[in-house]
Amino acid sequence: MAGSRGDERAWIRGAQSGSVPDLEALFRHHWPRAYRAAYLVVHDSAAAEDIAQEAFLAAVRRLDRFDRSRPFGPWLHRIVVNRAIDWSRSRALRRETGDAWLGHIAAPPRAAGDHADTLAAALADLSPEHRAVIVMRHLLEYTPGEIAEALGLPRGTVNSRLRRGLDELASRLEEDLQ
Amino acid sequence: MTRWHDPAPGERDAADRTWEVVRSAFEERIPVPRKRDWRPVVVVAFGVALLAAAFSPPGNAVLGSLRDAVRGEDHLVSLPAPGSILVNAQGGVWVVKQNGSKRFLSGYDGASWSPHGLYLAAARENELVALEPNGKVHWKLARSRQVGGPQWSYEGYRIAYTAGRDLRVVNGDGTGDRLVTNNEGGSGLVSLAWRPGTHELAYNNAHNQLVLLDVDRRRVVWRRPAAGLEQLLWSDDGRRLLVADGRPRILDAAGRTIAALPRRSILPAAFVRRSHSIALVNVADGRSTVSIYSGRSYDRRRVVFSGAGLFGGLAWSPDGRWLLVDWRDADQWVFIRSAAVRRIDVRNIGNTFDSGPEHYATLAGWCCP
Repeated sequence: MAGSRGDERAWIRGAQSGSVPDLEALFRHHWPRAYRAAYLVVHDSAAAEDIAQEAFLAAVRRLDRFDRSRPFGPWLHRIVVNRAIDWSRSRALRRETGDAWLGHIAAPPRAAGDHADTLAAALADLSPEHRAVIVMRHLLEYTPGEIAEALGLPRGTVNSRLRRGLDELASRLEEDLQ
Repeated sequence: MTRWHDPAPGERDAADRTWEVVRSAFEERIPVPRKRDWRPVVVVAFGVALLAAAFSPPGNAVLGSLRDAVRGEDHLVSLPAPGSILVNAQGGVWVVKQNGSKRFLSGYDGASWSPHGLYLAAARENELVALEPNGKVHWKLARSRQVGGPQWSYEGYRIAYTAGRDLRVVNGDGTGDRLVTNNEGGSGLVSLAWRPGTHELAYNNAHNQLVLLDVDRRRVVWRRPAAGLEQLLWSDDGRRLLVADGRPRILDAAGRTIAALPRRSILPAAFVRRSHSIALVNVADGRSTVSIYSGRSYDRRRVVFSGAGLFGGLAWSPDGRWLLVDWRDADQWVFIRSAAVRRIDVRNIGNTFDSGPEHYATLAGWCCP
């Protein structure tokens, strides 16, 4: 699946006309990055699935109104990352009153060769806000200006979070490698 | 940083599960085919209008309402449809009205609505109690053994309940209490379900049989094998019966199997109002999925919601437009208008109905505006 901009427009057009294969192509193309972005912010595979799923359902709800001249990814990622930040904050608040309920939520075991544990573990030590900007910059490859727009932040804040987050991440990765 | 693009844990399985949900939502929203496709023009016009609107205060409000297609609330402040919800919780029963007000009726258990929601029948140790939702008791009936599971017949003239291992029936005004069958419930839980429009009661006995009994004539209509029965549920018209046991299935009123449901279909379940379609929960790989099964042989499946962990109950709103999912493991109630239209997530259910974050409360019905 090449996934060029032209392909994406064609998938959206097809989906707006009711084509399930076109919707599936759009979904399969965008799912990996949406899920990974959510996962790297929340560090919980079940929550990541819920967050990414909600973003796609929102897309389906608004499909008829979607402007095909605009790229689909940034719109989807904005929802994913903002929800992931909300989820992480909410979990942090719940911890204050006990988060034993989280233990009931089954997370699939990690398979060998899957996502880099080191990177994920190092990211997990950062705040959700720092994780989000780093994930948007390095996984989703947005510019700081685009990140600022998506998260509703001043550009300077994005830059400072990126700088601090990356410094912290680098030091943790170095510790892990030693 | 060379591994940003490696798959994350669970990514591929989650994609398949989510695609089912997304496809289902999409199929639900497919518009009626048009003779001429005006969509490009409409989309451009809409895009222009949306962009223009986005820069105006009213436009911000519109965008806000779009974002609210999925709404999260930290507390249960109202119900999205008319009617009241009954919740069996630790130490008592809660009645939640549409405006969000909640009344706790202390000391009751196993409550159920009367057909029009005017009364509740509830157990209080060895007593069967009929009371109003405001707590005013109309009558009590004391038995020598623990009372449980009261269920009203369709017009409210009969209440079936258990007393120890006995299955008993009493008139809706508290008179005429009589034994229906002795010790037939055995050691397991007795499931009861009045067939709508009749005084026929479906229940399981100690011989692993499902029995449909005409209570007034004391005549067995039919018996069928049923081991490990967990739930019995009639459709509104009394022509379909869900039998949730080791091999979940749908029977017709004569006790014939209409459809076998997937073995991983477990409780909870709820027939769609005024329909033979049914919402069921499937559990696989630590996730629960609510699907609506429909069609003559229940071979059409539409996924409406999926989440991690277990769901504790399902209930349709009285107008049949909303499905409430008690997402126990996430301590949430999820109100689903339709997968493609609207959803409301209400958190902190454990704190709302129980005395802490642990979530024990169980749905006992959404009744009657």
